[in-house]
Amino acid sequence: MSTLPRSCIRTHSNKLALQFILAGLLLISAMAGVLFGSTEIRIFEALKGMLSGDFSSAGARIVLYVRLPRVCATILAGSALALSGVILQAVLNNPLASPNVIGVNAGAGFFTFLVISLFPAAVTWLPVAAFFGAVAACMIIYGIASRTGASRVTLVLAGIAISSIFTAGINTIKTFFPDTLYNGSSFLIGGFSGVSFKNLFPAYLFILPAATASFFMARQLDVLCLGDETASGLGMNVKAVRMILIILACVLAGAAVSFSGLVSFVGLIVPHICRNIIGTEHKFLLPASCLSGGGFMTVCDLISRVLFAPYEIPVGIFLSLIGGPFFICLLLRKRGRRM
Amino acid sequence: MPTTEKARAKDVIEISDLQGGYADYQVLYNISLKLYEGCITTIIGPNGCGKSTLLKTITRYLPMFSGSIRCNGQDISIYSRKEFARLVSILPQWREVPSITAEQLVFHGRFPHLGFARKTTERDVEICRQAMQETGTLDMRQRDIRELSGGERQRVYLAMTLAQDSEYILLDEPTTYLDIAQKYEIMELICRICAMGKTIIMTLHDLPLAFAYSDKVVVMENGRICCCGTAQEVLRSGTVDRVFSVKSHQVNVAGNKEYIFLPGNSSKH
Repeated sequence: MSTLPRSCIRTHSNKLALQFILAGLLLISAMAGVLFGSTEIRIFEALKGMLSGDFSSAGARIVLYVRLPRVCATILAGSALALSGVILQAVLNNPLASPNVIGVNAGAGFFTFLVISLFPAAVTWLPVAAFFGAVAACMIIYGIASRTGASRVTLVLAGIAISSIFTAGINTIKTFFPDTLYNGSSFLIGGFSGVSFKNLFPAYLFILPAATASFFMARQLDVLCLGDETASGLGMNVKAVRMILIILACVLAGAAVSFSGLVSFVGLIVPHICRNIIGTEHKFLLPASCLSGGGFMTVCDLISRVLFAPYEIPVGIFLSLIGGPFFICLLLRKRGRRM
Repeated sequence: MPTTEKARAKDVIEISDLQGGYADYQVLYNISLKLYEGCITTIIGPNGCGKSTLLKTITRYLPMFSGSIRCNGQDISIYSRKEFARLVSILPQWREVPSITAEQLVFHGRFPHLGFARKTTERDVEICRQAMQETGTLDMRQRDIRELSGGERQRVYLAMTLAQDSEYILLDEPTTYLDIAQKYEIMELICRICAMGKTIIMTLHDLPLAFAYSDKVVVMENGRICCCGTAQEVLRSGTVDRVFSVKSHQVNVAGNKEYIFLPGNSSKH
């Protein structure tokens, strides 16, 4: 009767292999993101020049100051939003939860907008502002959930209401401070055209620790998915764990929104797609979502840059155009079963 | 099977003068109760009488307003969460059913035993395997628990509770939504678990099952305990007839005592 551990190992090795495949895909998409772009550059000559210490060529400058930061930004934002989505779906026990659906993105966006228009010089503090916006939105949602014992549907409805309140706030700022806005409309649609290492760096400081911490919470996320009462019966401090996880999700989503704008949808669909493929076990689901979220975002951003070059289509459009139909296919395939 | 000797065993959970409930309203009034080692104690009562609330208070899911609950002679509030989960496990009536395999669910039962690294050891695997063997769920270990039938799923959840390896097992309505064959199957399983030396405290809606399988029956009404004793003692007191508005009968079927409950106020009977 020693089949039990062996069967564990078999499925585990499959899931482990999948992580490596996803990591490989992410690497390929990152390389493609650096190699291709709207401008034809002699990439190999540029790289050769860079290896020998010559950073002055046009190609080298494009790679260093445009494409590399951009690829880093897409990977960072995609992984952070996907992770945040996985965590929120588990914490709120709600398959519809994601940073944009429950208003976390809008909250982060509103605070970012507020800081940009009032203190244009405070770029370093944008992730902090976005974080507080995300926390504000999340606390309102959590407050509503714990006060009313809200059902899944109520939570999502409340999230939509909160989202629209914050979006109204964003539009108000846009109306009153039209001049001080830096690329305001592209912030609303979301995109990576303005990123540099300078405005990316603070977000890294938030996202890397938060992502690492969330990987250590995989087992707690699994147990939380069994429901509050069961989790509590298994000796977990449900309220504290849930609070920590919500804060992590807010840090991740808030920091991503601070430089990428309101790119949405990744936080909803990537976790679902990964859950379909790899299952609900979070020690696999978290890294898988992280890797595929980053890869997906990088690919979509690349397409948005090169498809109609030199014009750039906002990345959100491709996220929805590629992700949407794929998601609907999954829904149809799972017909009759709950997600 | 119930014996009077067992009901005289040493008391291990002692609840005295407990007041409890939810933040804004009180559900439990003056609950005093002794629960005995190695017994099946079943709490019965009409809907809303506070059975589930009492279980939730014993497992510290709900706070108590006043009074005390002592477990093995110590107040339950002094245990850490994990220590307490190694002592008392609960199978709630309402729970989320995530899309995981039966095996993964059973492994979650080891959660309070895991160290900081949360790594499962050989011993954890062995305990889970035993729990699945005892509940007859080894065959379905790779299946998604959402695709199991009600009875199978209940057995898997019981395996998780067994894997938790606690002295006391609390079950909230373990037979809800099950058909009659599955109900008996689960009750037989609960008896086997009890025979392994576990102390079982559960709530039940099904009166015949409660009286057939319990060493001790507790009747609750409006948040108070109104009767408590062996099946015979409780039936003789007439409390069940009054609380549930039924007429209880005891019949002998092939040498076994069986209990039937007929509508009490109806003129048809």
